[in-house]
Amino acid sequence: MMIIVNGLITGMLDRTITNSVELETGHIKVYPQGYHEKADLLPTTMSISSYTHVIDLVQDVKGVTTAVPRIRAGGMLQNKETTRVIINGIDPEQDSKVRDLRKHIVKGEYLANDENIVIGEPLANRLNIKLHDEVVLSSVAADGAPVSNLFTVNALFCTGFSSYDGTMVFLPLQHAQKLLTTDGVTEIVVIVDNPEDVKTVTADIRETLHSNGLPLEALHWEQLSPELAQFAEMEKSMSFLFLSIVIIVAAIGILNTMLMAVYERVKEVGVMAAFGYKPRTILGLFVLEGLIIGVMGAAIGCILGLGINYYFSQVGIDFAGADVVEFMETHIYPRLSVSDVVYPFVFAVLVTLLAAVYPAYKASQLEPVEALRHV
Amino acid sequence: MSEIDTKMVALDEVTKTYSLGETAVRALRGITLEINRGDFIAIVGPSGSGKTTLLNLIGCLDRPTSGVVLFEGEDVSLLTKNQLADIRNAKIGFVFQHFNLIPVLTAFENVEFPLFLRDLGKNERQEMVISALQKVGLEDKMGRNPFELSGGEQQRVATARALAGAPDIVLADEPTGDLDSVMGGKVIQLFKELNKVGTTFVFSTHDPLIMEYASRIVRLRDGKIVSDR
Repeated sequence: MMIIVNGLITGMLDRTITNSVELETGHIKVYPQGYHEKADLLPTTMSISSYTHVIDLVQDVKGVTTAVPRIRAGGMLQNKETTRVIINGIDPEQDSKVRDLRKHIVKGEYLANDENIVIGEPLANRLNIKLHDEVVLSSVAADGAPVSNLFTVNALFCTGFSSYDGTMVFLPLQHAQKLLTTDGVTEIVVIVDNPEDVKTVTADIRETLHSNGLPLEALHWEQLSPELAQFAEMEKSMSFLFLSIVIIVAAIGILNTMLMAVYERVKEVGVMAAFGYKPRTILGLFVLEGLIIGVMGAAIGCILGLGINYYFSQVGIDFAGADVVEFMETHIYPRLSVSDVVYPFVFAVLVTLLAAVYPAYKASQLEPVEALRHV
Repeated sequence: MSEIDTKMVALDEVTKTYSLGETAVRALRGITLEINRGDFIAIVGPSGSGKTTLLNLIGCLDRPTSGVVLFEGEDVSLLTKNQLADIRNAKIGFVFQHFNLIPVLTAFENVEFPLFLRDLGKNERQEMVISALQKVGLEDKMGRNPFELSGGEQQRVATARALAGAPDIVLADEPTGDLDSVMGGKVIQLFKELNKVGTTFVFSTHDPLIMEYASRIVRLRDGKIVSDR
């Protein structure tokens, strides 16, 4: 039970965080100073102009795998109807190292460096847009002037996350820059070698930017997506609470079984004592027996838990309607870390051992004749 | 032989009181008794007269409430649990009234387990077990668990267990209670043969036929000895 719950929570958090990192935040983002506070407004007035130089600097920081430029802006997509979208200017080749949009394309071809765009399939359906239709993309330029241009819908994508698929529009970086009349980008997205080191690498990038006198800031995914970090914390707390309940119930069950098993054998303890077995020897035998039962029981439990976990890791569990946070998948594939299996195993062995030792100790301390009289 | 050598167990004004809830049960009320090496003693008396309690005290399974129990000159009350366990393993064999066989062990293993505490090789230990089971006529059922044996057969396994370690004294509580007269007679004959080569026997019984084999009969009533001859 503990292994199954651990697998479920780990699987869900891992996928949610991976999705968020891949599709949205990356591990780290480099913003113009002050941009993050206004990120919801997608201001194009704040940009990184010498971004290729910054990318070179960031890529030299230890632990950085890659850094890619992006430009983001609020905009309107117009066909016969109009809707609000988020314009994403990306380098099609570079960006696929962070967010492989190609694997989410359901119709058409991935971006080439021409005046094509890729939009979400749900968005296309909503606006009745077909593949290769021409659409107007409008926004506000870096100087505040309204701008618009005609683009051809080259592909439709579907990630399965409705708000993402319904608002994101992708186009080549240079065309986005042309549309928004800027030479710069609004963010540089960084992927690190080891996600565990993300905070250290963020600090190193910050230090590099600062020492080069660049008015830029670096933020890691937990800062960029605090609601996801909170969700992860909440899930961990909830699972801790749930597992505590499972542990208490399991401990009571094991204790009860072992107590009964040993109390039923108090008379046996009396017979052993009558024939010369010393209290210490009797206790040792019960400890050994408790250890064997504990290890065998825990091993069987682990095998069962791993089996069930493996089954669901292949077919997944449907949690439709339970996507409480963005990028949480509704079909969860449980995953396990070594500690998810080791801790329940050790716990089960220890509880069994304790449950065997206590009554055996009490029985071994009785006078043989008292143990023999035990019914 | 000196007096110390011949006297195996001595009880002096021994009392034993149990508490059953708030009621105190006075099982023995001042027993004075000497058991010498080579004795073949029957303890007789009605139910509740204190036979089992007396056997438990002689066998160092219990300590007296008052009075003194000396086992080979040592005051049982002053010995530690471990010292008493050593005495029981090396010198005493028990046949319990309700057999007290360990249900998960075979007849062979039930006889063998007290011998694990002895410094014996595997072969020597197995020979002792087989020899004891042969003496009680159960060599062909040594692989069976207690629940596969009749009451009489279980009693014989219990007897073999008591005899296997060649104890100095065997204490048997109703050793023929679950046996028919023929098998009961055989078990007592076996006791008698071992008694001839030096093993001391103290057993409780209700059976007048068995009493006839005894060289000494101690009669108990209400926790006191009423006759000893």
